[in-house]
Amino acid sequence: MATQYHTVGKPSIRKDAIPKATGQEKFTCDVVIPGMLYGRILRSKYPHARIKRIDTSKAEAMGAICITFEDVPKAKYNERIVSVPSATFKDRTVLTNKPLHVGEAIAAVAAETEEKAEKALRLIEVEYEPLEPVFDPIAAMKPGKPSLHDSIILQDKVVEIKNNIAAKVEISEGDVEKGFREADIVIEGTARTSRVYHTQLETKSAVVVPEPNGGVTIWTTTQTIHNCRILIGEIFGIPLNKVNVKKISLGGSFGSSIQMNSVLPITVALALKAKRPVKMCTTREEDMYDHCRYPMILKYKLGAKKDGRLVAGEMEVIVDIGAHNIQAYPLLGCTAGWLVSLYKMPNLKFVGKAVYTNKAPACAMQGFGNPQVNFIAQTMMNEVAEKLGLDPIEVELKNYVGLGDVFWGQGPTVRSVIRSCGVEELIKKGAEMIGWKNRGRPQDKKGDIVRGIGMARGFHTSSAGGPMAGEAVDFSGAMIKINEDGTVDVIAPLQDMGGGALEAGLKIVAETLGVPLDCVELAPTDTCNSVYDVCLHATRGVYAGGGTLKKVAEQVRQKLLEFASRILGVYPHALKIRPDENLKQGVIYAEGISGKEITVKEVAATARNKNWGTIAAVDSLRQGQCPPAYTVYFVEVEVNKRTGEVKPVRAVIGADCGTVIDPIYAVAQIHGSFYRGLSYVLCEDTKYKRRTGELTNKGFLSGYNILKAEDMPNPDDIQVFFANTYEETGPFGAKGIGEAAINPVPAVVANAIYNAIGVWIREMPITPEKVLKALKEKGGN
Amino acid sequence: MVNTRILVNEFEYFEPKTVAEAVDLLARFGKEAKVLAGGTNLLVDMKLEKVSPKYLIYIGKIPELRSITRAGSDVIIGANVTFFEMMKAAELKDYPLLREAIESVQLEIKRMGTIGGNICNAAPTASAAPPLLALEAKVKLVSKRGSRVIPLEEVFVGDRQTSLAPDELLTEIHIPALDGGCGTAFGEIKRKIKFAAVVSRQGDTCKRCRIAMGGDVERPIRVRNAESLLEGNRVDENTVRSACEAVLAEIDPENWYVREIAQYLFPKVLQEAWERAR
Ligand SMILES: Cc1cc2nc3c(=O)[nH]c(=O)nc-3n(C[C@H](O)[C@H](O)[C@H](O)COP(=O)(O)OP(=O)(O)OC[C@H]3O[C@@H](n4cnc5c(N)ncnc54)[C@H](O)[C@@H]3O)c2cc1C
Repeated sequence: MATQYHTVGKPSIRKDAIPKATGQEKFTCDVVIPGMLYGRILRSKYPHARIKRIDTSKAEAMGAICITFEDVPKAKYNERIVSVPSATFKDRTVLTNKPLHVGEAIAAVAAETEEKAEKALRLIEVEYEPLEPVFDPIAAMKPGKPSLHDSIILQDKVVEIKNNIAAKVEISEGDVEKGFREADIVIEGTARTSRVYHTQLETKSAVVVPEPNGGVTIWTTTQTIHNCRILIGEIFGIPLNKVNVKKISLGGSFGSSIQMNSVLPITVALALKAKRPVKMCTTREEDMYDHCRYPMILKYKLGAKKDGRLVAGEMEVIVDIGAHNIQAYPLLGCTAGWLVSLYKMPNLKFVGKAVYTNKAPACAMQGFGNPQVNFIAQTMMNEVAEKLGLDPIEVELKNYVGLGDVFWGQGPTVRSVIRSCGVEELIKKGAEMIGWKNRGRPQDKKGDIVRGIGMARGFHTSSAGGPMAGEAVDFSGAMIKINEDGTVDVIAPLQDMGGGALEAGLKIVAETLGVPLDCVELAPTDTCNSVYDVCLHATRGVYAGGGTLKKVAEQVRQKLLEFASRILGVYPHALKIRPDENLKQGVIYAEGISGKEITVKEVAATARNKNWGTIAAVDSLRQGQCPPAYTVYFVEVEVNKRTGEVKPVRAVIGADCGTVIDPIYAVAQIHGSFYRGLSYVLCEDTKYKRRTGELTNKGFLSGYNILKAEDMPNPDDIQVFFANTYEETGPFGAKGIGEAAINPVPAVVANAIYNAIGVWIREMPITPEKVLKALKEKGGN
Repeated sequence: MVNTRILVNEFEYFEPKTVAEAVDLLARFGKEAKVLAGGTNLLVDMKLEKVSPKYLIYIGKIPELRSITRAGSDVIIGANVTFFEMMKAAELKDYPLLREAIESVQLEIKRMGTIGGNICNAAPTASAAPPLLALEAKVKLVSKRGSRVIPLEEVFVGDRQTSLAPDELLTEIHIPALDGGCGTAFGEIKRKIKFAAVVSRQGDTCKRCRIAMGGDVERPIRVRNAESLLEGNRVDENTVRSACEAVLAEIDPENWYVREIAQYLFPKVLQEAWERAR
């Protein structure tokens, strides 16, 4: 499919590859401003307390600038404004006088060096009144339990919080009772997913320069410079044209910077008070108290006919969101949507509750509820198939949501009709490649060490676009201009979490303009010189961000051809452009007419010399759809029945992301997500000490276990292939891949373990201890 | 909350060029000083403020601590030899279990971490401990007061506790030659349990055996009860089972998982050493 393109679909070395590999790329922590101070944050020792007294005088006596709750704006905000205001619950302030988790920021200091700042921090005296904490979400909902937030703010209205329930979503389609009555088989199960830390490379950081005009210039770890700008403007009452957030490389994120990170407003408050630039880079230990994935308890009941057709499903989800509601409401909606969009289920009921507890606040992480739902839904579907004596593949093919069906891209309010779907192709081809038919039955596998093959499929939305405005804001904007030498500047606030969304964007621009990829560069971008872009999330980078770049590049192309037409005397619509790698230029030509050729450089230079103006365009794009990107995983694991160890050894992974913009990075995204997902399902969890509310593994150094390279299957044993699909609404037929790449990983591992040893383990992480215990409970061997 | 971006507490730093200089400093500063080798344990502990030494004595600039030599039938490893250097050393080829044990250490740590640091840190999970215990290694401890050579076993007194006096420097590890024809083996389940075995046999009878264990246990130890149950006896299912019981007796009864996997791993390691013996 991609052969018709000169740049799209061809591998390239991404522009940030060499700077990143050689350490030359600049991240927020590399920003140095003359005269800057270093900030540090004082964090609560208690999981739940009231600050009775806080004395910063000793710290101030050594010259440090100090701020406490008294020094910050009192209006509550929500750090994530991807959702519209009516779906955005505000429950926090820049610093607090009632900390709700160990590690919550209660004061901050700035001093000449980090060492001095650290010393000053330790001189602050705090008198706490410890309050009873609650760590378990089920307990937190019981009457009589301490309440974390008595009230929160929704669109300037006070909303009361009862039983610590931060948000609730109920969705019902058809009649589940009737559905279960009609079912030939009904199974029930409960899954628990873990509270993993994002483990992104860069810890959250900010550098803030107060400007003479009362504004601020900001560098910070973020997926959205524009939303950071809006929030800082709102919180501190600064007009937006005086808040400039500069885009800078993001050292990974996995979703943890979809919101403005807590460190930014604190740094702004310090810089405004100090009247000097302040830099704040958090430690790994602090960062682990700042965000994690949403852990869920999922109860699921499933009814099917003898032939494997699903008739009813009922799911109850309890989400332990920790101390703040960053986006629990959209999360619950999305979680329901992922279930609705996984199977055609005529009768369905979903109840989701998000519960406050005295732990670090959970936030978006790759998949946004999707791996959690997928874990229970895909393992129980496998179980139904096993119980009915059917091949799980057949059952999947009978029930999946595909071409022509309605897809929920971001909860109930973001829906569109599926126009491209490679599920069947991926399942059939993948099954062939892994040797699905020969996987055997668990009861026939002998010896201490056995192997099993599992299958799971999943998807993710590409963007939160749709035909109507939903609860999520979703549009991007960009400016593209052709320089006087024929090179191209792309001014796009879109971020890149490391997956290569921006490289894909440049390819889309090069392809549209007909110039060599080398001619196109990302220009330094900030909120003052760029138009709005919501955020890099929801697997929207290529589809929505890239779609926007294509739209803008088409306008630039149009203008370019008009100018060329004036010079060549050929109608603009009769002109074509081809990249010339030798000239390092795009060449505009009239097909079949010799002599009617001109380089982009010559056109741009002529436009300047003749005062025609710059060949440029700026525009925004809202995608009218949210097409699903699909993945199908086949994974082989080796299980040691005597030790419970699970070793993934081989995988075949099929993906439908429409047109593949770059084969290297699409495969890399899948490899990376597979590895990230393996560590999620097999190993990671942030655990809290029951009495003190502290993390047991305070950071990497003192032992947050993740899988390491040596624990992962060799990349040579992972085969990735792509579906032959074309998404008509995406740029050059492309959809996303980002989050779709991780979603089925927990389920596929659990399914493979079942195929090896015949037990279902639905409590993550699936540690050797749990496997061994499950085997013992099952008996035998 | 600790600040792991920096070393919060201030200290004075020394780089002695000889063992004599180093032990002089240790004698002067005693408990307030810490020896710095590769720093892969110590710097972590300092960042976490588990320890806050006032004086750091870096021993990486003392050439004599960096070599591997032979003395008679013993091999002598300088305390500051890294895991990586041990992996490459021709002198250590005769001790395959040592290599097997340190193979799994991650690359960065192999490059930075030293054998002396591994021993003096005295973690129950120390990679080099079980093989060195099974090899009946001795260590040389030097102080301004003199020097002594003691069995490694006597160094490990508890979880991250050694019998070294505050003014003592570990300078050498002595590994005696193995009996001809003996078999060795090492096995581990990462972070959980490690076994090292050295076995000499005569037909079906175990002539001599050394068994060491580390992992999620109190400290690295020789399991002497298991050794004596095997020595002088036929090695069969029964003796292996009773040796395994002796191993289990050394593991916390609450630690069900480690006990389970020990029952899997120990017989495997023993069997492997047994089969390799001639
Ligand atoms: C990420 C990571 C992974 C690790 N993986 C492993 C692993 O797989 N296996 C393993 O065993 N360990 C592991 N460790 C722990 C550590 O790396 C090793 O124990 C290493 O051998 C320590 O050696 P060092 O030279 O770095 O010691 P240092 O940190 O310099 O010193 C450790 C301790 O010993 C003392 N000391 C050092 N040398 C002497 C001496 N000659 N005389 C007296 N006292 C001395 C120091 O004062 C300090 O108390 C790991 C550590 C990290 C951070």
